[in-house]
Amino acid sequence: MTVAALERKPDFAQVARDQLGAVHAYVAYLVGNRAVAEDLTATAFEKALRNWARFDPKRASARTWLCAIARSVALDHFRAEDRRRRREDAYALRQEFEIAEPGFGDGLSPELESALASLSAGEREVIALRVLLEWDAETVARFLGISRSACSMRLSRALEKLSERVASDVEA
Amino acid sequence: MSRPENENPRDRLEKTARELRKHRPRPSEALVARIERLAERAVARRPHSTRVWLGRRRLVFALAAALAIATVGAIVHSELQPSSQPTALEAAHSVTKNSTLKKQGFLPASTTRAHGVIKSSQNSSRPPSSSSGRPSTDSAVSQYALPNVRQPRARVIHSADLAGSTATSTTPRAGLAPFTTAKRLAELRAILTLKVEDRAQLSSATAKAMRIVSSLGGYIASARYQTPSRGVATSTLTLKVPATHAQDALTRISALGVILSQNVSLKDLQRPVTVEADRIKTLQGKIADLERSLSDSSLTSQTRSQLQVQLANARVNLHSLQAQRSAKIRRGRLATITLTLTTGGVPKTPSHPSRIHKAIDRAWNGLSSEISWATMALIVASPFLLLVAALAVLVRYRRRREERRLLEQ
Repeated sequence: MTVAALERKPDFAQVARDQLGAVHAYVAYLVGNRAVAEDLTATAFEKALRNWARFDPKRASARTWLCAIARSVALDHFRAEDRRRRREDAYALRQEFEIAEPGFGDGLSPELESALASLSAGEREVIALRVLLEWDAETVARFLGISRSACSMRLSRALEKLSERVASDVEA
Repeated sequence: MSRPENENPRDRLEKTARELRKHRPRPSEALVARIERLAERAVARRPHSTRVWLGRRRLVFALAAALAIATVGAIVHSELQPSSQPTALEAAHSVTKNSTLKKQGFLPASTTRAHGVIKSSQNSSRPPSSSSGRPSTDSAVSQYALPNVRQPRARVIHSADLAGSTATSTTPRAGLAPFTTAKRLAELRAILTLKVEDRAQLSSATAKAMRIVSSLGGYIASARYQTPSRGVATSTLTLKVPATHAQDALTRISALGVILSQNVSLKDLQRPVTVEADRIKTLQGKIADLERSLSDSSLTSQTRSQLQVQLANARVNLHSLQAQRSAKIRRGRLATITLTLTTGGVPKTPSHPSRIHKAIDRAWNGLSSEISWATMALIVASPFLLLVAALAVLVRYRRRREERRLLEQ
């Protein structure tokens, strides 16, 4: 990396302040739990600070890079949770730790909140990236390591499912 | 949240998206404070220049550095190489060490000049003077130059490489190289290429060469005469001539056309033959001793059988040595002349390589050997590399599958 490139590289403190909301929103949708999302977001930023020297603005934007780290942290969390669940299943001690507090955002209707919670993490992830962060399909597809059409299909199905569940909740 | 029954599904999705954006999760104050503390730490700890991550460029730099190191290594290696190992260029333009030839009795004293470069025939007309006062090689060539050989235009000639007791002379388009085997037993091999005017002269020159060899007591080992309907006609003869008449034969044969190239090599056989003679004498003495010992009747049967075995071995060795020595003497008695008569043009002789060319050539040789070693290493390592690559693909595939499963929950 040249000195000029180093000079062009943004400051971590500024990037952290600017991107906190986006990364947090993404993690919150991914894990569906606000408390866990806060922890994971903080962990992701700590990890980002440790690896800040590796960040190359030419290869990806700071937001994409931070979201990739957040995704990796969230997947580690899922793995740990998976292992915990298996252990607890083995000893028949499984307890549900679902938090009653809103997981996806203040002010969301209970139907939408419930519908979002019923979606899979993968479906929520694509909604977060395409709808909340407003990334284009190409970037999301590259980020998730899938084709563009697969990405569009996943989003469309997720939104359909979300819509249907909201409608059924309203009818109920 | 109420939804009208007749709402368009697209509008409904848009509305949902708007609502999701509007109520986007916001980080708590605690998280904001935590990130602020992190940001302050980041400000305090500026990244070191040594921690700069080069990414993919690092690979490019590493490859360039490896290539540069390999090139420098090749150059250094070539400079450290002893000069006795000729490169491809040097092999093409091998250098005579006439002093060695002289020591072995092959050359007259007047031709002696370390690393002498024999100049071409036109230069041979110059006065034989040199700054050192010694007779130059030019004069040596003119001394042995054939009077009736038409000499082509001037060209620098490089003579032969000399390794051990083998002397070779390559003097394209010059007078015949001066070699004599009168003092020592030596194996002489000469390769001559002569140009003749036309096909008629080719035929007559071939016949003349055969007659010369027969008149000197030699014979024709092989002959190949090619006159295609168009193009260059050639005649290739392998001639065996008594060593005592080799110089004469070469002189007379060279007169049959214009010398395009000549390569005369002399391999000293005197020393090995002398060594073998000494060994034969020793073995004969040993055999005589053993026979005397065996004639003693007081020997035990065990000792007798041991002596008999030794005697048999000594006899076998003696026969082998005698056969080798005879073969060497036979080779020394007959000189081999490979004569090519051609109607074709003069082949291009590359100019004498400069120091830079030689250095480049040696460096290239070094680099080639490095590349071949690297290729060999790669071939040896390739099964393991393939295995590692397959494992990496497998691990990646499993990881992605696991990620998919986790995200589907």
